[in-house]
Amino acid sequence: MILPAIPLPFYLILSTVVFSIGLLGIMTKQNGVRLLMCVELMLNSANINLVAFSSYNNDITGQVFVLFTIALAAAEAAIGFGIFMAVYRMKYRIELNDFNILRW
Amino acid sequence: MNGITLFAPELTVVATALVVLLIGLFLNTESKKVLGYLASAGLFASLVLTLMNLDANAVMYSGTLTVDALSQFFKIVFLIVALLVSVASIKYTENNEHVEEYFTLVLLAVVGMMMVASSNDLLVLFISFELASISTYALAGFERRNLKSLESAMKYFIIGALSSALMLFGISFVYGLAGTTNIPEIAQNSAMLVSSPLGIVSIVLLVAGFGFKIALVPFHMWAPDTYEGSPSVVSSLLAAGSKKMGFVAAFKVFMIALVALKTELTMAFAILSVITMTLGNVIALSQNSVKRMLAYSSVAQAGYISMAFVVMSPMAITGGLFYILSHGFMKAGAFLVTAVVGYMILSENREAENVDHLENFKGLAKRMPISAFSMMIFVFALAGIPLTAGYMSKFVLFSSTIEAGLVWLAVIAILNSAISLYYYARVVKYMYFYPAEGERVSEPLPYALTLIAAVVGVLILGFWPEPFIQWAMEAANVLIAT
Amino acid sequence: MPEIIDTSSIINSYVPVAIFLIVGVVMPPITMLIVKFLSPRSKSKQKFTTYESGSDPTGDARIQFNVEYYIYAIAFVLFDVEILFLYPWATVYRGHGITSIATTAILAFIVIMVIGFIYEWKKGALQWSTK
Repeated sequence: MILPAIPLPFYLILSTVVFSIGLLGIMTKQNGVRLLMCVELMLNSANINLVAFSSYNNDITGQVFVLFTIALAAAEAAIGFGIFMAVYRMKYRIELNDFNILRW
Repeated sequence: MNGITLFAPELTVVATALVVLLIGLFLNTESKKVLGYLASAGLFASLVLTLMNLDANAVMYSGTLTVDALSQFFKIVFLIVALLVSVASIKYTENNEHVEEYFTLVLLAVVGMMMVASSNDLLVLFISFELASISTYALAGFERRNLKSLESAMKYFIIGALSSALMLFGISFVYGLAGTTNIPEIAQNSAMLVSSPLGIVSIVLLVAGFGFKIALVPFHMWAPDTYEGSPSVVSSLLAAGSKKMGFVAAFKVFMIALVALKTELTMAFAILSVITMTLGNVIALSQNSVKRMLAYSSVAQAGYISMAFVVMSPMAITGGLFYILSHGFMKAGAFLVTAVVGYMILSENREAENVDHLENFKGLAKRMPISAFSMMIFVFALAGIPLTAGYMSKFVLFSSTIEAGLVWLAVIAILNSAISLYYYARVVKYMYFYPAEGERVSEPLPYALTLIAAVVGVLILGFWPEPFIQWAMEAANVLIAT
Repeated sequence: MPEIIDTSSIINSYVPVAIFLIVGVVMPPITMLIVKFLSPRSKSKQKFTTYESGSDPTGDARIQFNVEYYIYAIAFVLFDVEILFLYPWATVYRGHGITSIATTAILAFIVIMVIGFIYEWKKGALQWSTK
């Protein structure tokens, strides 16, 4: 059975909700790993958009874009974890509130 | 075949990065010094290759990359800054076991910046932007045992990741509305973007995304922390290179892709640039850390350069581009001086903290005359004293603002320059009018070389600006013509 | 812009999914109830230990993983998503010869990945050190 196409606004609402959850998380959470997860959510919400637009515009660029974004998100997560690990080795904590050497 | 010759500068840098990484794996710590020379040679070769194709004008690889006066202009700025940074880093990375990672990351960051300058497609623009950002996150935290460096890397990473997510979300809407990621094709549909509410959302997201990289005021919080905490050579690359990458991306997206928006953007950018320059200058007044002061001054300079987005006349964009070129020399040089001072303090006392404190600049004229003299030239240029690069760029930019009838904006900018003179002069006072608290130290050769090169650059741009302004005008025409 | 589609037809199309969901929620409790009434009981000590594929369980289930594990995980994820790029390449490769630009491009890509791999190997990131 072929499902009828889901209209574009549904996808956009979904992606906006996911994006907002990620943004809210970044603004309220303190733990470094949680922040990484929230960034990942935001990137993936953009991916939903890209794929949805790609299928509605009948244009393959969006899907190619998503492949690249996935790779970039992985690289970003790797660097992020690397930095957090280095911080953890020095301080045994990755809560952002504990970092206040650099202040004006 | 044509594509390969025009793409050669980037390929050279990539190849150098890979070779440096591979060779570095098989060398012991003492002989790793050669990697710095190799990286600098690669950057120099790339600079020569770019200069050979200065007048090139082509679109390559199915319309994803473009080589024109604008891209060549920015590529040369990035390569010069990278060359200064990489030569200075030969000394900085001495006796460090991670030299190959350091230089590979610097080279990859430069490739990212160059590709942003060349990009003709939002996909390429985003990937290259991320390549440069991800490399610089790692560079900011390069001193793994230094909590300050790690903290700065952490803050930079979180804000940077957030900004790239915002930018990607904006790009996804632009793609959806325009049906393409190709920048000139988006330009043809940009009227539709303006009429749709989604288009406005996407533009706000893009302004935020680029604003973070440029450090415009509501998005500037990371910049002072990161510039202060990172190794000085890396701060130099961030302030003089990475920030300019944000500008070229913003120029491409807002002036080529979204031409229809010109009038809507004017007011937004006017407010952003006024807040940015005022806040940057006022906070810089009370800083005791020289790197932090330079960071806030760099925020203020971003405010001046964004005036080009407000006026959008050919003259203003020329001024903005010329400012970007001279700012590259001035800011890179000033941060490199803090690197030399840090080297001096640390060579006396390995455990010293806050090496960039203003106190450490006391009597620098007697302890390290070359550094003190270059710092004086750089801060005077940043303040806009005549006969330096800073004066000429401010002159072109401000006079174009007055010509466009935005006298109030020019007045605010000039008042800001007057404020900035205070904190710049304070550094000179500490260096020249306070007694020295230590022995005379001779600058290591790599540092001395880069400082002299940057001083020469600043003075040439100040004394003999016509050809460079002409060149900036050609680059500006690329933005205006479309 | 795509044509507007009646949303009720979408909801109708999810009816099979809903039936599946209801069956999935209702069936397990029923079978568990049947088992409870029908099966014989034998209580012994062995019966109540944790099942670990036949061997005797040792230690607590909640252990902290060695930090070394994270390097493997990250390295795996990176190479995993990189290899994804071979897929779109493979779909368009038909018709391109061995001397074509497509071959050169993918070779360059693989060479860069191999350099990354050599780097990891040489740096000892793939060495599990138990200190």
